[in-house]
Amino acid sequence: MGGSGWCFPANRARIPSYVNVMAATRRRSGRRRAAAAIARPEGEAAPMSRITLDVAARSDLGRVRSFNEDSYVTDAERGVVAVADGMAEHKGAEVASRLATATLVQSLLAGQNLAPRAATHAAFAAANRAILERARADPALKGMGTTLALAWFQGERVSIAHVGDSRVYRWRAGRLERLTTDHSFVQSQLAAGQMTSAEARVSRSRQLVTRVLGAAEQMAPDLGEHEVLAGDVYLLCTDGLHDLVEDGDIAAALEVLAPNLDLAASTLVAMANDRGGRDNISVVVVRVDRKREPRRAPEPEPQGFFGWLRTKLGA
Amino acid sequence: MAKLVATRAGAALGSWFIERDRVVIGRAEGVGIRLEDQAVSKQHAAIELVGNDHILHDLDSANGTFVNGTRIARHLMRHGDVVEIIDFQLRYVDHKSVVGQDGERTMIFHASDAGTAAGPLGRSPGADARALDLKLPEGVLRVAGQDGGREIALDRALVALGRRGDEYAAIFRRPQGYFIARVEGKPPRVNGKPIPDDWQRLAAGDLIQVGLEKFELALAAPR
Ligand SMILES: [Mn+2]
Repeated sequence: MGGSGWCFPANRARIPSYVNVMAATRRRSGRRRAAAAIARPEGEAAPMSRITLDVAARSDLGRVRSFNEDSYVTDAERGVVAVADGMAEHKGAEVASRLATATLVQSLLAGQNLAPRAATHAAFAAANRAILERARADPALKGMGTTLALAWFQGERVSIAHVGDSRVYRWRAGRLERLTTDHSFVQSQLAAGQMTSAEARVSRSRQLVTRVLGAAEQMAPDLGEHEVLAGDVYLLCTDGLHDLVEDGDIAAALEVLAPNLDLAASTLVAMANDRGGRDNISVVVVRVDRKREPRRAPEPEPQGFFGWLRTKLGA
Repeated sequence: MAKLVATRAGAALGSWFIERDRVVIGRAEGVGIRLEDQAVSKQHAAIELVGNDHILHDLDSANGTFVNGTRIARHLMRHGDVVEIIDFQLRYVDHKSVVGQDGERTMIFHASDAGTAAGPLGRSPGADARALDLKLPEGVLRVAGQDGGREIALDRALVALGRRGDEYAAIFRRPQGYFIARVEGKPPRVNGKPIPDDWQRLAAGDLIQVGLEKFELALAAPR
């Protein structure tokens, strides 16, 4: 955040050495632009993607916590963005969230020749296994786990998958929609009519998640596939954002600040911090644009009346 | 651990920790919290643990159960709530709900340990509520020039100024005041000076220029 007379605690999270490759790109809150196309097996014609992705991300300690246990990954070139919110019985919360994002990306890359659904399933399973194995290898990490929310853009489709209470939102045509349903105690109470939304806001069960990676051998994510339209803005976030910031304010940030994703991301973080910043806050924002036609070589001067007419008609 | 601190007509009666998943309040012998008065029903109300919340239920009592002055059938207890039964007052004290030094730390406990809460994986109890009573500034932008006299309400988190794809800025309403930033195009000017990137705080009377449009920030007196 810039030196504008307001600042929040720096992200002091420790990065384990085994995810150095990821860490090098992940900890920077940078912006990447890329055509959303994942490499295809050789020989197969890649579908012409008519869209581009712009990505920005931030992860912030918040104003109360001492460690950042969230992780995120953005790989705009491959169209992969994800956030994870680690938790632990003793320690290892940040280990779990980083293992999850790193393993997810590796597995998606390895599974490029699978159908998106199968590849996503395999990637979540791999992340789950990686956490369980690491916890078995190091008893101090026993009981660690993490949420994980993924948006994987492939041309004009996006695969959304999640476990836990990290969310994916979509801003489209003036409306904010939530594309994920929390795996949380409060969500299940709401769905069963056991709790009102007013109660859900103040409930002390808000921190209870009912499904995470790292808790059991079998762990299935919720999966969804959606069409991607130019003008869409996607937001992936941990509960440090959505627990404190109302949907209306999230919508305002995505709408008004869409042309400047870095500002959108830092503003969402600032909103959560203004409301107490009680948890780590991680956001990834993705804007979808129509790909501009590559600039052609300057055309010869239009000749005569028809040439003049053609330029007028924009043909 | 949460507890109820009881008083009657200003006199302290003692306090009860809520240790069980269900605690009955009433006149009958053997209930968890016994209030000895004929006007109290034998089983008057109950507090149940649901997830990390205590839910207070009135058990169809003759004279009703009130929380903070309102009669309730069911109520999610929050730190500081006062339960009134006849002239007994039971204050709900739950220090866990006040944000600790390490905030809302994330922790797992295994499903098998989770007891009554249908085995959710858990993190530490959430602090009580979001800070919904944010104090926000009240202000408007007065449009200068040809459109003079027109006002733009600054009653939302973000208000856009200028034109997309051109000179485009935004005003951000925060507890600390109003802030302005360039979103795209040339930076907006405040009192004639282009502002550096990122949010810059505005003061009452600041003259803002975005593209050819000019505005003056007017703030309501803080209440
Ligand atoms: Mn969290």
